[in-house]
Amino acid sequence: MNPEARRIIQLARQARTPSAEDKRRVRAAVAIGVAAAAVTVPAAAAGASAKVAGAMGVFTGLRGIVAGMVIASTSVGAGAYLWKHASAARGVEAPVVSSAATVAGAVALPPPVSTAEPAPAPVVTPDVRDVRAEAPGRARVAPQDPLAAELTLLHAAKQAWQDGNSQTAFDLAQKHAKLYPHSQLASERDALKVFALCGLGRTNDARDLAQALLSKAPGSPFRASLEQSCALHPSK
Amino acid sequence: MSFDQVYDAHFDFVWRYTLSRGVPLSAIDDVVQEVFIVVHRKLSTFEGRSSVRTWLAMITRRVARDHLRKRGNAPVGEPLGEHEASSAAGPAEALDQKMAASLLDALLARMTEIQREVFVLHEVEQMTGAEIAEALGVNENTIHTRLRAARHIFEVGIARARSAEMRNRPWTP
Repeated sequence: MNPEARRIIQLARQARTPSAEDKRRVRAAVAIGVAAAAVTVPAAAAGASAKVAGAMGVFTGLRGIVAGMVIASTSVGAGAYLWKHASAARGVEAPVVSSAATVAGAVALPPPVSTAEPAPAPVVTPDVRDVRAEAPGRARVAPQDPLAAELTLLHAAKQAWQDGNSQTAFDLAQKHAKLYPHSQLASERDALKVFALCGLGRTNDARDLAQALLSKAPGSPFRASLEQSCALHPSK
Repeated sequence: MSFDQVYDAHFDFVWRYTLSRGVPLSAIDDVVQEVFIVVHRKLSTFEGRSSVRTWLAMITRRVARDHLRKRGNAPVGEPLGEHEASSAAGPAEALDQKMAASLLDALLARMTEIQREVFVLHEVEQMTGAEIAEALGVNENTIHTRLRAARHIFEVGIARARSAEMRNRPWTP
């Protein structure tokens, strides 16, 4: 093609190229969808789930959980928006802030694109109280899958925090820390604890934890959000 | 290859290709998110027999098609309409980009569906004929034939836009 045609294509391509913010926003939504899928897989499919999760690095999923939570920490509306985008396409309502909390396992995956895919997993909606009462290893969604148990626990903590129950969120995060002290999801858990501490008004504790978290991982994906929280933002 | 590597390397491609499939900007987040959830689920079964982009193009086509069917949107082939220019561009460049995108949309609308597909994947996304043939499930010779026809439509359209500009000056990318 002639140079002018190429230039127009190049300009049009640039016009359609997404921004870094687009990329970050969709990544967070994908992570939430993936994490939700991980905790809705029935026990029979837990092996396959774990295989996929292992191959992909499901830990990014938790990063998404916290990312969604982080957005809500600065704007409830934005958090709801993110959640909506993570779940609405799958026919699931955004979570309602109420005392009748359910864990995010209420989210179901979309039907498979290809006919070769397995049928969608049944929706599971455990109550937060059940999650608190059960050891994660006995979580009803995937008893043999420790990763799913971790996800369930952290998801419950995140949901409690979203529902405004910072104490429950903090307790669940603490429980995770006790059960999985060397978890690869530790940074996600600690970020959640920081936000829960902010919700409890324990600013000094939040600041100490946030600083410890960032000193261990200066490039943490949560840096910006921690800096916006009460822990590191003087006006909050 | 990890999911994050696929996402980082190909997010822009999936986003643009989704738009070119006729998915409105208001739904782009949902559709691209769904594409990558499928990618996440399927990546462990991807054997590398095709390029990653070919594989992503196939997934994106199916997800976009399903989305448009579900929403009852206009079929692929409708002009894409206005989109925001890249946020990295300055005002002047952004304007150029927007006008170029509008012109591209207008000229794509004059093509048949397969011409448009081939043109977008080859000229905009720089995919090879073999990759496109695999993604679309057609013979590679067909791809080259359609590409020639699409290029002709595009270049003639630009020439006409230029000549209109000489007369009325409505368009100056």
